[in-house]
Amino acid sequence: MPARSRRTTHPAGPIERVVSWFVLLALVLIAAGLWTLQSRPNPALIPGASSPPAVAVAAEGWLNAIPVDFSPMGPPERFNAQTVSDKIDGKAELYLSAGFVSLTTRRMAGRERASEWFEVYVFEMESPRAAFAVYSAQRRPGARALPAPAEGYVAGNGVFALRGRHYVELIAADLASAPAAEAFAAALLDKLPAEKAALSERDFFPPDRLVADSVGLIAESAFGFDRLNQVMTARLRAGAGEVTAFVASRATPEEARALAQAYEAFLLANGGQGRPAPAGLAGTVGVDLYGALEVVIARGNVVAGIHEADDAESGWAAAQALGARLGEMLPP
Amino acid sequence: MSVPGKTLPTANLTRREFARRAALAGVSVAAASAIGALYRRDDPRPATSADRRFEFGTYAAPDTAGRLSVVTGGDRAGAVGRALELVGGMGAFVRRGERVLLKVNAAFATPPIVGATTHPEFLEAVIAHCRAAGAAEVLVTDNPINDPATCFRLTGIAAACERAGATLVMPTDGAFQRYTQSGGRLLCDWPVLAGPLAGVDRVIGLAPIKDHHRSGASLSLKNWYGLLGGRRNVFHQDIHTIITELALMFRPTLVMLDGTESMISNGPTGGSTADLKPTRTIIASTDPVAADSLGVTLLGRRAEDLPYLAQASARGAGRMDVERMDVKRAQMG
Amino acid sequence: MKIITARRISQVFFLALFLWLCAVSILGEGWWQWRGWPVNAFLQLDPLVAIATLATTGAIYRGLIWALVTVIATILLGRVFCGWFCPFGTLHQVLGYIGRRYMRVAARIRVNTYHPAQAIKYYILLFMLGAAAWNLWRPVSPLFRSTLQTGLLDPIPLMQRSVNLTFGTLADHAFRPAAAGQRHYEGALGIGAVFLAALLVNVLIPRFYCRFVCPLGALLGVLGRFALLRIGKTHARCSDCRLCHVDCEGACDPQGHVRPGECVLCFNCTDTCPDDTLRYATRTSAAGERPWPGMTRRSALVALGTGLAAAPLARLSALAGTNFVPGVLRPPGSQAEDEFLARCIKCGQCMKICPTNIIQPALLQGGVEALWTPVLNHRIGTSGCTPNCVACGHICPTAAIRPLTIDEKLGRGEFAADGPVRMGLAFVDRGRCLPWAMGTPCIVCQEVCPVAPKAITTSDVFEEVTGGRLHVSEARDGVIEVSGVAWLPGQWATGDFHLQGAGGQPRAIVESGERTLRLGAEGEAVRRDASPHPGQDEEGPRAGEDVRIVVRLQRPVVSPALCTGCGICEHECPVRGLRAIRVTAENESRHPEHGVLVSGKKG
Repeated sequence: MPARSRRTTHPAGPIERVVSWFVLLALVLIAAGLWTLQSRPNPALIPGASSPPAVAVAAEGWLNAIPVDFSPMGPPERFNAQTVSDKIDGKAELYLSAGFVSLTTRRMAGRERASEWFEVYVFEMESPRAAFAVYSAQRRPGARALPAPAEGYVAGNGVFALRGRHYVELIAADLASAPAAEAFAAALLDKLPAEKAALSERDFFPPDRLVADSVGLIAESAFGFDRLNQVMTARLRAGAGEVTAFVASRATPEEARALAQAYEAFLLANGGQGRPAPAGLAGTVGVDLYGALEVVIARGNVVAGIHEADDAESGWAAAQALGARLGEMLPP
Repeated sequence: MSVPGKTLPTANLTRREFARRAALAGVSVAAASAIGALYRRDDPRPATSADRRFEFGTYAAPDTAGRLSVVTGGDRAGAVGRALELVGGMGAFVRRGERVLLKVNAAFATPPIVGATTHPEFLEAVIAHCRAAGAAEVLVTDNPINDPATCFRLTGIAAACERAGATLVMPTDGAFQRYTQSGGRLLCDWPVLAGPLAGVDRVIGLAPIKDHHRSGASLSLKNWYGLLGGRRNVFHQDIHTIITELALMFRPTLVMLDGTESMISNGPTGGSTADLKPTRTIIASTDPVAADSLGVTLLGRRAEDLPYLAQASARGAGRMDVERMDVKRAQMG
Repeated sequence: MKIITARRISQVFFLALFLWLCAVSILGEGWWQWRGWPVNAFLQLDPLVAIATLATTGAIYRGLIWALVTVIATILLGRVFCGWFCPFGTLHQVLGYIGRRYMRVAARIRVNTYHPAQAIKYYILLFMLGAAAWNLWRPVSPLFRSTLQTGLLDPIPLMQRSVNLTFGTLADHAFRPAAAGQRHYEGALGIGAVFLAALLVNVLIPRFYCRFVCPLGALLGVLGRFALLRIGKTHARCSDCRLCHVDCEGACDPQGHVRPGECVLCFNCTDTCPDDTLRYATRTSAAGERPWPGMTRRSALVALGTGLAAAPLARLSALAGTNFVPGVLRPPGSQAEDEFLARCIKCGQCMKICPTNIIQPALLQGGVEALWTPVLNHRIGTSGCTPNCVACGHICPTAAIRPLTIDEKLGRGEFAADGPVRMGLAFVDRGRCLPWAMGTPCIVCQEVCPVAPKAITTSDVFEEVTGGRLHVSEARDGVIEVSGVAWLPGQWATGDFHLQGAGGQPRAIVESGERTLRLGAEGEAVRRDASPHPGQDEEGPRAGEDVRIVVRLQRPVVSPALCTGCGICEHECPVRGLRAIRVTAENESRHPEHGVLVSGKKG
């Protein structure tokens, strides 16, 4: 006789039912707890966090091919995004926020005079644009430009140059060593691959007012506003002095308009007072921020403006010129 | 499991039996929990030097609180002497026979001309004053970011020590011990440069005045960063808190800031003499927060611009209200 | 909902969870990889792991404290772990259910009635605890040390090992080869056979393993001795239909003198009892109960004593001492061998997580007590031990392998003074190495050595090739011709072969025809061996001269001061059978006495 026909089973009593549902609830809680737990990775398992890079990069080759006039003081050193602060602690974030790939450094001395030494830093960035951002952010005023076609300058004991996606610094031990560094720089820059940076926003600045060598690129959080990224800045002549102008391209006009409004709101929230724009400046607002004039222009897919103009008159004059230039450059 | 109630003749016995069983179960649970106290979080490994815990000593000289002097003009060595004189002379801080540790900033293997590190002339002058005050031994140390030997050599600090008669103490691996700051959030079980501090009576901080990309300015408090070991660059994620905790580690005997040439841009590495400005100022103080509050003005910034100064002062590491302090000022040729 | 429905849901849930945690035991940061999953959860809830390692080490290591949850639940409720949680138990129950579907009721009652042999599991438990007990005392002689063998039969490590290394791996090969890699495990057949046998025997006797073998069940049975709630009868007398035995999982005799130590709380009896006499309640069974395991004190002492005796017997062969097996390499961070054997529960977690599959279950090479403990095998894996990986020590639930940091493993940062963690030392077998024994150029091991500076350097020599003695019949413009040979064109132009005249320096052969050789300018490599007479040989061999073809060999030499024993060289060695460079346990960090240098540490 098959077993099941003989069996009777009991319906669940009230306690039994409560206990059963309680068990199910406990299982659900365990599942939820495990799901939360798994989302927090065990830090010990993320490999390579502190490991030096194993792959050689081109920069090492460039620093190994040494012109005859120089002798190295040590092997090239290489740093990646995790280790770059071992070398330039405190300034690493500037490079990391702009798009950093690697840094290769090496100390060189003149072959004739060993007291003349300098250190070469080759920063490889993600793009020529990123290299331009770190180059322009650190530009020293009153420097002597390197002879064309190189893009760079000599300031005191340092040589600073840009080529393609590489930003190069050569720091000489003293002023007497600077010429040697400059000579090495010339040879090094020749070897670096040229690559055109996409810096089309540069054309939005009115050329007749643009101060030479003043164009810069801020990768993140320009003027303290965290949504203002990839902003091109430049100094424009206005009135007796200069003012800072900025331009940022966005994918769509809607995006640009929203950003302009958000930036205006940010300025007003930080103690700014609204100022009406003079007639003829469409899509433009002014904000008086503790005596300095801020202008925000939304035109097409571009957000532009003037930052911290000391006097309102020259600020508006520069804004007029910038607006007119944008009108020329952008399709109606 | 519903039961038609039925009392058994053995009800009393059953109850007694259950009470006994419950008591034994309770004892078992208690015993199991007590055995649970044998729980160990740390993995079983042979003890290393890193396992020893470290505490900082007392380095402030008695009755010297709140002294602050600012000297402008003059050459480095002369201004150092004048600034020390105005806070009471080195003799007020260093007694005969004491061992003095000078914490320099040798963070980068860059030449002195760049101004990213403590200038050798500045160091040499201070060593001379310590020796004149009768110090039995003057030690100089830092845990640089680049290779220590190279840093000390290229910054000219090694040569300055040799000339002036100080001992350079290298940050060797055995020199680090674990330190936990009570109430600290970041400084928990972190390796600090304890070796050079062993048996030291006085600690003097000697820092250049520098712009700092991350924290705003690198002055005497940021200089203590060089006492940390391990992968300290993680602290850059929370730079103001770590500098505040550095300020709370210990009270130094004295700090001195060298603003002869201040790095006003592209800090903390700089690179070019174009980043420097001849501000020609030496600051000496027993209060590092006050010294930094004055020092930051040489960079064209206000003390309020540095969150770590406000935090450090609020937590009692020193005073920011220098205008209400007795600042001894002097102008030299 | 009925309690048995809740119990079944719970069993399925935990079985699925167990399999899921095995599946995600892959190194990585995706949600389907280890990431933050508590992959040791079941091992850590297993009180036998905690109690046995407590006996051998005097401490409860990290997550093993979770076992307290199981212990307290068992003290209060009985063997709820076995009937509701244990994934191995669930498998037994499912197979037992299938098996008894084909039995008549009488047979089912008979097979589910208590058998005196169920006491065997208590003897097994006592034997294993006896073997683990020596470290509580630690007499002077190092022979009297604990050996931890619970993992052989403890159901959680057993199932973890079996799923990880056998059926889980087979499933990976079949269904997700990319995710898990094509992994192999030595001796998987043995591990799988034990697992299968334990499962299949359920067809004859349901929950055979739980009733007769399981040392964890035995432990929990004793722990639940004073459980507040227990299965029992409300009346001493019932209709004695014995239907409660039909589906009884624990064979605990609810109908007669119930044995709470055998009851796994399946609640099948309370469900089937037609008289409604069975309860899970605070009172003891009205029919009386047999609360203690069915064994005598004397036989219990014998089991314990046998275990105590077995441990030092195993150590008499000195495998953890002077007679250590050089082929037994342990993962990086492993404890010294006697401590290792006191901690390892043979769960196979390290073998599963190892990204290069080099951690393998030992057979008997490390002694009987080291069966299924992790050893390194550089042939079976996909590489050597990855320098930047410390996964095995972090997954190990008992710290038999310590959780290293990368810095400690590589001897960097605060560990620089200690040097890297060494697993062994690579030895070149000069009788098998191509450049040493066969005159054949090869430099693979030197190239792959990941240590900086490289632990393998080469000693460069020129060696005459077989049939390399020649007589130059003609020579002009750097081309020489010899008679009496028939070479394959290009045969000597691989870059390794050189021509050497009498007393001269070897010069590289850059072209070779059937009877001709063309020599290159004096190459870089040749110039390094500074010639005593530079320029002497610039003209090249002349007609009528006796010359010989030599081959430039770069013979690998291992530096014991630098080698970490990672085994990448052994893995890559082109001599595929018995490798020409092999790592053995000399120099391993965990045994300073195995060092081959005066100072085992670096500089």
